[in-house]
Amino acid sequence: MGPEAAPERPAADDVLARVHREEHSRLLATLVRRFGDLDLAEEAAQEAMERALTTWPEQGVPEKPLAWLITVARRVALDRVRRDTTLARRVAEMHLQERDRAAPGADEQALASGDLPDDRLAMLMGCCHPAIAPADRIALMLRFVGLLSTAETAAALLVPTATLAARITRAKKRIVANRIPLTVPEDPAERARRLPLVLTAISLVFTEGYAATSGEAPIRQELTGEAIRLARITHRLLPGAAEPQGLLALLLLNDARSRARVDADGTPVALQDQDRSCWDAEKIEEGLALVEEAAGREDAGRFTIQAAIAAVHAEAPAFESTDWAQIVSLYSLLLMQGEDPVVRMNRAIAIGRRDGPEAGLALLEELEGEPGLAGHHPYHVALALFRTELGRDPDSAWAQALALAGNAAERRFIARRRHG
Amino acid sequence: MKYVLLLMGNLADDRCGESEEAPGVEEFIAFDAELEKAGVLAGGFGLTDPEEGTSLTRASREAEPVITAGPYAESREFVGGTIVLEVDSLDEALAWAAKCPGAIGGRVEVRPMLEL
Repeated sequence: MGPEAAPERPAADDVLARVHREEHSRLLATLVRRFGDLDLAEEAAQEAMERALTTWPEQGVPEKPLAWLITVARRVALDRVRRDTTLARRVAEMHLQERDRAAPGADEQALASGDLPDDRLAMLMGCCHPAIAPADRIALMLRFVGLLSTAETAAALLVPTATLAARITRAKKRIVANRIPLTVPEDPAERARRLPLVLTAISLVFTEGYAATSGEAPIRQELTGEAIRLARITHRLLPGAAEPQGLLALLLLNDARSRARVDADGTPVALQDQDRSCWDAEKIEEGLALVEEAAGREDAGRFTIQAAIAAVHAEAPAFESTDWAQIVSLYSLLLMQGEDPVVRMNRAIAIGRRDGPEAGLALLEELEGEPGLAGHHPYHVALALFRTELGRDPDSAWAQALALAGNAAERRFIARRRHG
Repeated sequence: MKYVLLLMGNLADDRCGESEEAPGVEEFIAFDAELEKAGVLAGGFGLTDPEEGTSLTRASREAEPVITAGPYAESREFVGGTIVLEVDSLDEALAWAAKCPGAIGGRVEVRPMLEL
């Protein structure tokens, strides 16, 4: 199949940028399913993206960009396999298995029609295989589904880049040596065991997009969009489960605030200073409906509770009218799901809002030296704010917060809260 | 692809058939028959008690062999037997391992066989 030239279509650069953001991870997941080999899929996906970059501006953007990319990538992979007999044997074995499972030609029909299945959930579930070490699972997902660079993945997981690179190499080797299937488990019990790990990874992708650890921009839309998309797919695949629904609600409710969360020069705006009329009413409406349904389910867990907290904020017409008592109870409920110093910190802040800064500060100071909070700048910001409200010296807490901020925008945010 | 199930036991635990809890020989025989019927059995062997074994070690290429009676003293775990499976993926191997009587109160280690 050759590229279907259509020169009157939008500029190739724009389409390519969009394809790059939205479809690169889909392309990669589809290639992994087809080849059963992460390295080969990565190489072929990269090469196909590069060829698109040189071909499309000259010949026009094909009508079905993803199908074009898959076709090119498959040719790249075939060339590569012809030059490497070990790889050829492995891929041939995978291909035979694939034929046992799916109707022959199904992929070709999908390619021709452009109606391609989304293989990313298989990648997510595969990356969460119990035979892969827990720390490696999230690294693989951020890298191969979230498409973060190795450096970004390392930053998201707070480990040195070299450590992360070694971890990914080791995990890939393990997948090949053990022939770990990167698929959605057929056994419902196994699917249920994998799910929490998948959801955690998706929420991490969102967090990385929402508070980028590198560069100027505090919010990277493609990452938050990707996380919402993955949460949506997970919810669609498991419509009866509370937690995928709760996670989707949580991400939508957080994302709804994204326009108000940053000002014109890219500095984050604190919740209390946000212009609530800028919140995305459509996303809030969808998020509220989802969390209401999820909260009524028996298997509601930590994502649903977090979504309920976000819902309380979303429903308050102004910061002053926030139902803090409700938020404190929800944080208490969240702590019952498992000890978490960040949850304890947020509960302390909510108690400070409900009962006054004295109560909040006392609880926050009890958490001093907590390893999970020492390197977390919002903890030091909260300490500084309560101390300021009570007329105590906040300087050391402000200095700590500034030292821990990951980017310039966060440093401006801290400086502004300090002087605002 | 071939996977080896290493049936690991612990020296402190009851041996095969010694108590109600420990899986008996007939359970292993039945499991073997099930594997055979499914067409995935590609070899394996059972071993006598670890105390019956003899260990031999050489500290280096030049060193004389040192022979001791019984299992390696530093390890509480021993290999009770192996089963070789011919299946398509780790998931299939794990599904069989979950049915293996050796997993009950013991441990089954699933290892891909090195292809040379």
